[in-house]
Amino acid sequence: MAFDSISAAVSGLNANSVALATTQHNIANVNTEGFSRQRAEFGSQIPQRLGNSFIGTGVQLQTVTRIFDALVLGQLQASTTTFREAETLLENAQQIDNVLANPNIGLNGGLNDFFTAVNGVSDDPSNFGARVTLFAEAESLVSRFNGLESHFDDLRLFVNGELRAFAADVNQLAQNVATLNEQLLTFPVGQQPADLLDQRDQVITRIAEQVAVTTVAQSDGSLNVFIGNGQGLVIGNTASTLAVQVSVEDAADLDVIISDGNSIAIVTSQIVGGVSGGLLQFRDNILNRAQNTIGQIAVGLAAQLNDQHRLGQDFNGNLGGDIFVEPTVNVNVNTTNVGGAVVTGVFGNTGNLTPSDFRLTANSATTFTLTRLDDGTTTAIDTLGASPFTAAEVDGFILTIDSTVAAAAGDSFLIQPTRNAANEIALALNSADDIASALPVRLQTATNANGLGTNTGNGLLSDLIVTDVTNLPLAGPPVNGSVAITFDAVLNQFNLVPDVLAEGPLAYDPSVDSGTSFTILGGLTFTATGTPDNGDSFILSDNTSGISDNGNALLLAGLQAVQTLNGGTSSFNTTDSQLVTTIGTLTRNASISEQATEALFFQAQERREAISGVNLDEEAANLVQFQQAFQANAQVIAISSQLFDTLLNAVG
Amino acid sequence: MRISTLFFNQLGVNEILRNQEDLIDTQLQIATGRRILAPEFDPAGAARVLDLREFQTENETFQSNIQFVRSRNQLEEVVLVGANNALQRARELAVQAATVTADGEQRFAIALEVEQLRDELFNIANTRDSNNEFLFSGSLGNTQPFTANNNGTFSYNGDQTVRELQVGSSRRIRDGDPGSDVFFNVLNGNGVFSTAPGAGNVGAGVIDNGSVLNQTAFPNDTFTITFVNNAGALAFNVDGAATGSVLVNQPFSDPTTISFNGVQTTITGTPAIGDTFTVAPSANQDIFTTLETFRQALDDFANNGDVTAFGNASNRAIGDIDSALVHILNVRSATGARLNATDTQENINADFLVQVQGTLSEVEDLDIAEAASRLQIQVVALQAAQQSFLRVQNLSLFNFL
Repeated sequence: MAFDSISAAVSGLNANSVALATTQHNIANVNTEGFSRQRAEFGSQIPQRLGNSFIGTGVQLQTVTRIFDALVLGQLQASTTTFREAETLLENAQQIDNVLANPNIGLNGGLNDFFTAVNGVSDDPSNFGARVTLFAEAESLVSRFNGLESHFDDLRLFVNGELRAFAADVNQLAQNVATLNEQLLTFPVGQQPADLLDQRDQVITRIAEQVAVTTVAQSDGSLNVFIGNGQGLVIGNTASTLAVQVSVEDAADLDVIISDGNSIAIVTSQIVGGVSGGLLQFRDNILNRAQNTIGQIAVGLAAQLNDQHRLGQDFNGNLGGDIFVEPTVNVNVNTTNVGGAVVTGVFGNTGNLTPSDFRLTANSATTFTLTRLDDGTTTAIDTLGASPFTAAEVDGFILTIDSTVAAAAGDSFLIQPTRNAANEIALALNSADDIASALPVRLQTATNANGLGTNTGNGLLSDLIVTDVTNLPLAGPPVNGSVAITFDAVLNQFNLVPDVLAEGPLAYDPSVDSGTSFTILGGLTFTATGTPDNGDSFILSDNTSGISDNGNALLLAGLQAVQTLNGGTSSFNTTDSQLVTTIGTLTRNASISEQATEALFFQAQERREAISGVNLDEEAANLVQFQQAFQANAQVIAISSQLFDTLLNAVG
Repeated sequence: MRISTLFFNQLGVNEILRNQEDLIDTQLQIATGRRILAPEFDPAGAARVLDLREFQTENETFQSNIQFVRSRNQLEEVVLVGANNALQRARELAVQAATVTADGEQRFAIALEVEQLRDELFNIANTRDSNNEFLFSGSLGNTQPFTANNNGTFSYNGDQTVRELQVGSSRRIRDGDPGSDVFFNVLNGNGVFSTAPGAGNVGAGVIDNGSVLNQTAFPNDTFTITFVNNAGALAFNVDGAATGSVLVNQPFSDPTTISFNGVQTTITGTPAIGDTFTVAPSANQDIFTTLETFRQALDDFANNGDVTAFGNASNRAIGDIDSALVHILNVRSATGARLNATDTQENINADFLVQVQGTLSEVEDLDIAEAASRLQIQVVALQAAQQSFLRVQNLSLFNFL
């Protein structure tokens, strides 16, 4: 009997020392992430039959289990993915949000300064100081555009770098999962080491931080990991490889590809969740939008100010040139195209531009579909076999398809009308003298040689508007001089001398026609009022030496308030402030979703920790419990020994 | 619920971090005085701030444009006052010279003074502004607007361009007048017609400036009054170049007022048979020529003592100077009206600006009192989180083993 009790006590010692070791293991791993606390499970040993009774023979260790709930872990991984995605999106969105409304970096301040300087020239057109100020403000507006663009480019490079790091990280982790799967295969299902299982779960949680994953447990105890629409990342003990490559559509962007050794697939569009999902969402929804809209303003501003400026006359008496170098339409050829069609684009009515990108897809050698990517609107284009074929204007730009080498069905072109515009806009003015503040022509009443007015009636030609300068200067062909507009009171008409384009005579009955406008020479419009006497004459001539005229500067300054963009619904400034609202709202939404997903993530973490986490107080209590059991068992041995001694003494 | 030791620590640290974030935001708000640190804080508000700033800049630009409009119009007004004074003095001299008591010597002295007045007028008409641009040359700012020619005539070298400045979102005001409108295109005579004696008159007839009875009845035509012998009596005919004969063989006795076609004029003295006088529609004449012609007449009279010629010339001079005075007065009223409009617009803009600044401050500025008390609460919360973390952190069963 004493021997029985010793062996029972020894089993107790053994079992409790394992329990103590397990507790020690738990305590040691209190700070190990992903560690699940373990518990030694005891069972009583098979009793010894003694007659009709059974006598207990002690305790045996059944197993060391990890306290774990697969469902809770799944929730934790899912919420990790959504939280990291929201967090990454927010962090990057703030990079743009903070910049756009900054008075020193954002466009609004630059536009205000620029137009104030245009007003300065309008106030005092021959003042060199005012001209130099405008020249400097135009330069600084351009550098604001360029500065924003280089900020956007930096962010795009950052996204690309992060995507590279993402691929490398996930590859490493996937390899770890594959290795762990292999190690676990050597154990029968149900007897796999808890720590290895923990490690594998933890590695998968870390993959979930990068990208959304789904896992499927296999009957052999291994775990398969999938990303996207079921692209296998880890199958058993083999891991696929993620990589990035330059996008076939846009050389500035990277695509994510997955390769399992046999085939390669582009999975960019399937990537959701985690850091990578956040990066792609930022790139596609916020960065592209901001860059395209700033570009849209750059294109509109350059085109519309240039158009007006070219209708003016500069300080040296020449017709105005360009203020800004106008950006061009960006057409990217898909690198997988089979055919050889060449697509080029030019801007049409820049007021109709949108911040969207477009994709032109060839359905056959002659038929194409143009898709506006932000809302999927499509336009069919049929070249009818013509080459080069110029398509009708769509959303402010005009495409020309050169089919010298025909397109193959499926070929595509990514058209980014305004993507690089803020980078391409540059200052075209060479000097402050080139600012065309005056109108190129003047319309005056006839005078004698001394400058005395010779008209006797009260008729007046005024409100000269210049919309086309093809036939200017008047001193050159086809007019070669000036045009006299002389009233004939008998026939009630103005005669033009010379009338090189055969536009006259202009019928004008003073009794009913006062206020009528006439346009001559393709784009010189004036309004007739009052009653001229017979022979009263008006002279249209070049505005030679008209350095103090502010006619054109006034019109340039007026462009700030005109709603010329987005189909005539917003000005340059309001397009920018609308972008601030849009990006601000997107950032705010990202911030709200970051807080919400963080709360969910926190909750999932709390639940997992509640089940699997180590509590030191609990372990301390266990320590005491198992120590006492150990001591008690030792005491049983001591007592058994005493019993044995007693027996020996009694015999002896 | 079980709480793991790791999570327990994380919980405490997270609370401290969250409190710190809030505290930093408030601190930044107070340091910058701005409620909206980034558009994210209030996207609509941030855009509103930009729109309001644009509106503010626009109105400030209008205000600065107004300064230009005002200073140029004020400068023009100063010049016009000078012109008015010179012309007033010239008119006094003309009246003085016309009195019979003025002898040749006196008239010679008057001629000298008129010459000086003419030069003075000529100088102020060629005034430059602060930017060294000529005030009255239209868009040809570097071209001297008025020059004297060798033959005693004057030329205007500027153009007729009128410069307007934007002083409100839909309001432009011109910043001056071209010199042709101020000094050159002044109608001579009484503004409707002018009178003149024929070049070969030998009698002593003197014609006055006449007056208008009914302007619409006066056609755009030149009429000639010819003195004839009507059966031994001095009579006159009136013929229009285009209108044809108007009056025939009307008896004349000194003085006779002749009325026809809505106008009337009086001839005094006794013209000789064959003498003619013309009544022509007023034509443009520059103010310098008006003074120069008068000076020439004074000079001639001092030399030849021809009372009849001088009488006609001085009548004509007084008429032309009166027309010029009225013309300058009209230009002055227009300038004054522009200055008034400028003041009104400036007040409107200023009201806008005050309003914009108020709204801007409402949208953008921080309520400092609120922020300060918020900061206080956040500091207390952070301290509480830190202290409680440390206190709770010390609780471990291991301390008692």
